[in-house]
Amino acid sequence: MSEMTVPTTTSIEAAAARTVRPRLWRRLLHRPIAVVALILLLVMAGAALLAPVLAGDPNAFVAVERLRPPSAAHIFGTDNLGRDVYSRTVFGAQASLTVGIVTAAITTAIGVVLGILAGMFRWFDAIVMRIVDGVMSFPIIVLALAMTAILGPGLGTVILAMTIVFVPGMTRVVRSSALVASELPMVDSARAIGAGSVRIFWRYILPQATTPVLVQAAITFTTAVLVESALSFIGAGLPPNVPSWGASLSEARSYLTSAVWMWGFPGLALILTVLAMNIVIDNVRDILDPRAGGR
Amino acid sequence: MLRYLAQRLLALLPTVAVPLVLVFLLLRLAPGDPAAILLGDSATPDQVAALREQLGLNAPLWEQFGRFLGDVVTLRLGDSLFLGKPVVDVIPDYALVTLEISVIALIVALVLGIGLGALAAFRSGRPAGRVATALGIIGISVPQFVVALILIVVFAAWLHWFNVGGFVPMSKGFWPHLRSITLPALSLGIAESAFVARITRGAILDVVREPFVTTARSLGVAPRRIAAVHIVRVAALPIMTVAGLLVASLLSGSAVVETIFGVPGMGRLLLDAVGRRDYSLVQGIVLFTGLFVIIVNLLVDLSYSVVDPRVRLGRKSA
Amino acid sequence: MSAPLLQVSDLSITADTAGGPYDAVRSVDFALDRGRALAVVGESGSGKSLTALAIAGLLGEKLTPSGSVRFDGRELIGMGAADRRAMAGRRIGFVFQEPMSSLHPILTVGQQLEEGLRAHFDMNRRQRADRVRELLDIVGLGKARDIRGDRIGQLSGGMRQRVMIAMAISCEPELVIADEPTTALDVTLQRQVIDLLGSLRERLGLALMLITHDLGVVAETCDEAVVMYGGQVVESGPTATLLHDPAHDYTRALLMSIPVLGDDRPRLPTVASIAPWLRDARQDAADLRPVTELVTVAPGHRVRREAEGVAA
Repeated sequence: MSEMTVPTTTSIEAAAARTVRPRLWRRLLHRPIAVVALILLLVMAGAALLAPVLAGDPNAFVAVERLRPPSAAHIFGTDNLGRDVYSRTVFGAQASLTVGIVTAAITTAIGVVLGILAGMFRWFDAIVMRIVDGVMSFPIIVLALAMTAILGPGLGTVILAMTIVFVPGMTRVVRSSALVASELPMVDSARAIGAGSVRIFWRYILPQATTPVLVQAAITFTTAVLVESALSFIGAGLPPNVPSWGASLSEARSYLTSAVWMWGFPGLALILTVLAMNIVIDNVRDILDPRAGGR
Repeated sequence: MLRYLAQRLLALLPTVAVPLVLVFLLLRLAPGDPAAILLGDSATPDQVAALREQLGLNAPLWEQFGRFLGDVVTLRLGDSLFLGKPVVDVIPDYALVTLEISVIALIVALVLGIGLGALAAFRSGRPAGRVATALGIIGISVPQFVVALILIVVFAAWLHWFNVGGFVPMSKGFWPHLRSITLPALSLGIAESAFVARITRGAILDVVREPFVTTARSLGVAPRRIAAVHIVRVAALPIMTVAGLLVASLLSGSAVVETIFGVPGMGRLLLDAVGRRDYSLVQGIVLFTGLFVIIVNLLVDLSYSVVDPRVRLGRKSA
Repeated sequence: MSAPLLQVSDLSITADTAGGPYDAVRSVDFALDRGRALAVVGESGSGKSLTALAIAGLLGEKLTPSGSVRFDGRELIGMGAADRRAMAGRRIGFVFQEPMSSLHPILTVGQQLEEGLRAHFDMNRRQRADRVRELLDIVGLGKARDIRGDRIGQLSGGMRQRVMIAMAISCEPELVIADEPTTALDVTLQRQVIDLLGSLRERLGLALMLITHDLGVVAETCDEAVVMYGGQVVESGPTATLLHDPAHDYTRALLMSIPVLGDDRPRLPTVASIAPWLRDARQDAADLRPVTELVTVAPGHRVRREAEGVAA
């Protein structure tokens, strides 16, 4: 019987890290639809970042040029006030994506902290999870509106309301990753060779949670973008001078058939952004958990 | 069974408690005098002082909270600033409309969603299944209000089957009433059906892989029966689990959809209340919404325990 | 002697994997007569479970059988789905390894036991109920308490396995394939299950195909045995011969690895390390596989040897 060198936990985890992450990317890039989706996201991100460079002033209007269909001068046409729809769409990307990313980032930060605490300390888990779960089932737009009533409308209120409702989801993901990770045999063996709690957390538990957290952050992003657009649509979201997609759609309500471009382009931009992210999320989940059979 | 429901009720209490506490705290922590905010700009200093006294705003926060809880439980929610009536009198009519639309939307979402999801699962890999799967992911990427706009363009503007706006109450006739709520209910239902479809598809695909399905095959059970009896019983569980989230999403969406179609439901009432700074009304709506969510979740849990009796027995079977 | 109930000839199973087609099982031959018991022995990955599933027609989508499996004269490979279904349960019963996951978590015991009956017989409610009671009695679950309304989570491991067996024989099949029925059980329960299978064989005249890696069980229950390794048959013959006078190295190694009372060696012997053509998943690793054939060394006793005069 040949002798085998006993693999150490560090070498196992190093080998695992080397294989899972790059393998994920490589496999993702082999899926054509995922690639298209990633490109789309890059385009939207580019639009958001480079808005001033790519388009003119979204609020500039020429009254005479109202409701013009797409043309050379205005490739997406103009709206009811004579503003350039293309410009409003590009700046809308900036507004909506910013809200989405900021919300996702804050939610992730808070959720990770709470989730780890819940995973590591039973008492924290018992108390906080009850409260946190309660908020998850509450309709977010109702909560956002209620908070707007007291704190006034605006970006901050919207992000605050969304964060409150999205944190439970992230907390649960982190918590279950932490719980699963802490029961892995490699944690026991690390403890057996004298690794302290901090090292265990850093080297073993945190890496396990990275991908689920990223996936959940992406989901939070898509939900935030959708909710923000809904709030802006009814006028309770971003301030009126900010050209968000939701606001553009709301302004087009009286011109649904007469000026399809006015709501068509922002609407398409919104749907495509969310769809692209959802496609990426689905593909990542499918790669990580093939058992689910392409869910 | 009763004990199970009681347990579930306890677990759901934070759903109404947290938003209510939030509203309570925000009102008192926000800049300005809470009583002045509640009474609005036209209040006299005497009125403000009286309200301060009544709400015990001079007392420590804990005492205020106690009073607040007492008021909530006895449904003393104050008067609506702009409608001049007690909040508890105003809300029920609006709540009923929202409930009606939400229930229809829920049924649409479940029927359409489960059908689409089952198609995607049982015909996965084949064209019909692929299309169904695609519809699912596209569906969750389209916000409810966009679905509403599209439905308006197709059914109201092109086909002229429906009118937009012009809600007709039940008292003025059953069919006109139904016509006036069809598009709003459909918008919500179709938008949510994509979510249900995806969950259903995932649930069924998971179950199909389970060993007990192979056992059924080893006995010669027909595929149709395996699907209808063996698979459905188990796949139904994840679907019911998300029914709670589904309801929250519907209630959220109803605020927007009611605004688009001019339907006098709780969502639109809330939007108006917010616009007019009618805080007592806002507070009341938050409370009612929480109660709504709890009731529907309890109903879902009830049906859950019918499908999976293990839940009632306290899971000693695991 | 009449023709064997089950005749497997040149059975191969190809798996459709991400890296291309892979021969999971190659050229398996054996036969089983009515009322007799055959053991298929091997370690994990030897292909024994796949062989069993192929005979029962329960392979998954990505697995394709080829060759011949004749049951009572009828060819099973390539048989239509409807015909297969008619045979499943009615003529070939299957006992699965892990009853906790192989039994439905929500349907009651009574409901599950009726499924086979519903599929093959035209019985009314009363008749089905009677039959269920009878089945529970046969497997020894009739006396204690009425478990027909229970869910499998409420039963003990041993009871679950008995329910599994009751399901397999519910339609009075002629052949029962049991895939490692004792592996998930502790020793006392293993004893009970083995005894149960034995008494059922006698009582119902069943032919039994027992998949296992436990040579002790083989010695007790089976007349003949087939040893598999790496997807192939390496030795087959009467159990007594295989246990006392094995002709293949692998069989010998298996026997030697059984701990014996009074053995005071510091380490238990292990079976030889994995064959190179199995460890290396590349297709061209198949070149490392020596060319072999099954050779008859005695009546009914065959061994796999390197083919004479053929270069590797």
